Amino acid sequence: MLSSQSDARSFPAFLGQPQAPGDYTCFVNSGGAVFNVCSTTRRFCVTLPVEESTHAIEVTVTAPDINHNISCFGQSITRDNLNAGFTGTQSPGVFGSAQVLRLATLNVPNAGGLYACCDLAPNAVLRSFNY
Amino acid sequence: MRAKLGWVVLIVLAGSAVVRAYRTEEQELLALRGEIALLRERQDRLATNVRPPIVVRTQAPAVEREPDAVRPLLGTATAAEPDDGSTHDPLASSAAARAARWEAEARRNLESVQSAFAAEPVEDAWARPTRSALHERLAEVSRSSVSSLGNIECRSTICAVDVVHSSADASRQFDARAFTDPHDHVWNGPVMMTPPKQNPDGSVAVVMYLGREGTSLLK
Repeated sequence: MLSSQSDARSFPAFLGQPQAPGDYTCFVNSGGAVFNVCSTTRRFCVTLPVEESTHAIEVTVTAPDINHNISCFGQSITRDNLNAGFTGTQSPGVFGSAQVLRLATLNVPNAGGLYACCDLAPNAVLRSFNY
Repeated sequence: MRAKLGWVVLIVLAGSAVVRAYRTEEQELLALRGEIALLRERQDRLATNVRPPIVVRTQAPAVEREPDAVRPLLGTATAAEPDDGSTHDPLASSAAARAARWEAEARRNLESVQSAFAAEPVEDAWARPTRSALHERLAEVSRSSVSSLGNIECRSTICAVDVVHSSADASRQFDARAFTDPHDHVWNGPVMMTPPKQNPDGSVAVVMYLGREGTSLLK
């Protein structure tokens, strides 16, 4: 049953899309997680449907090593796509296993939107979003 | 001879009268058939238009409850209709209430950041170099996106920056470069903007609240 207050939601990264349309071939889906199989860093973004204002996004990622890292940020927008807030960028400090990045809480204006983007180095993995 | 002729005339007249009467009956019969056909056609039309009788249920059967997932969306759907005769759309009023809650919450969030900034003491060791660095870097970004940088004020964990963008597109360009450029973003802490204020010349005025990296503007 849905509650009147918004419950936490989670989505596998596969829900998103590359920032650049030409990068579709760089991202491979495996069990909902997205891998960058290209030889350079590429950006992948996921829209996060919202029904209320305050959201703290958690992103689960895996970076193979410090030279192949992943960095993510969240962004809120108005209904006409003007920016309303940014979380700042975060990267994991532990490599080789799944890590949760806790982004700063964002304010989404009424009828606005929320999304998150990650810059994935080669072989970095974007797993899921919880917010 | 005259008598014979009289009889013949009489017989001819009688015959023609009989023929006329027969024709009249035949015409009446045809007319009656036509009327019957019309009546049958009307009857068929009426039978097609008749709807099944409306059954008014005074109590819903126990098995016909709305699904659990639908009930919250209905909000006050089970409440009594307003007795002022106005039409009550429970889905619309529920959506309007949700939008009002969202609007109020977003406004409270923004006000809480504005209040926090106003209440913060100035920590010179952080505020001075941060303001200086911000001014230098944001000025560079504003030049490339046709935006005008206004006042910048930093305290102990938050800076407030006034900026006027020449257009909505310039605003998007400025923000992308300042906050999400993968190689060269200006600020890596949380950012919250006031709702954009559209000026008559098409420019867009915004106040940006920039939180120190590692902090959260919203508690």
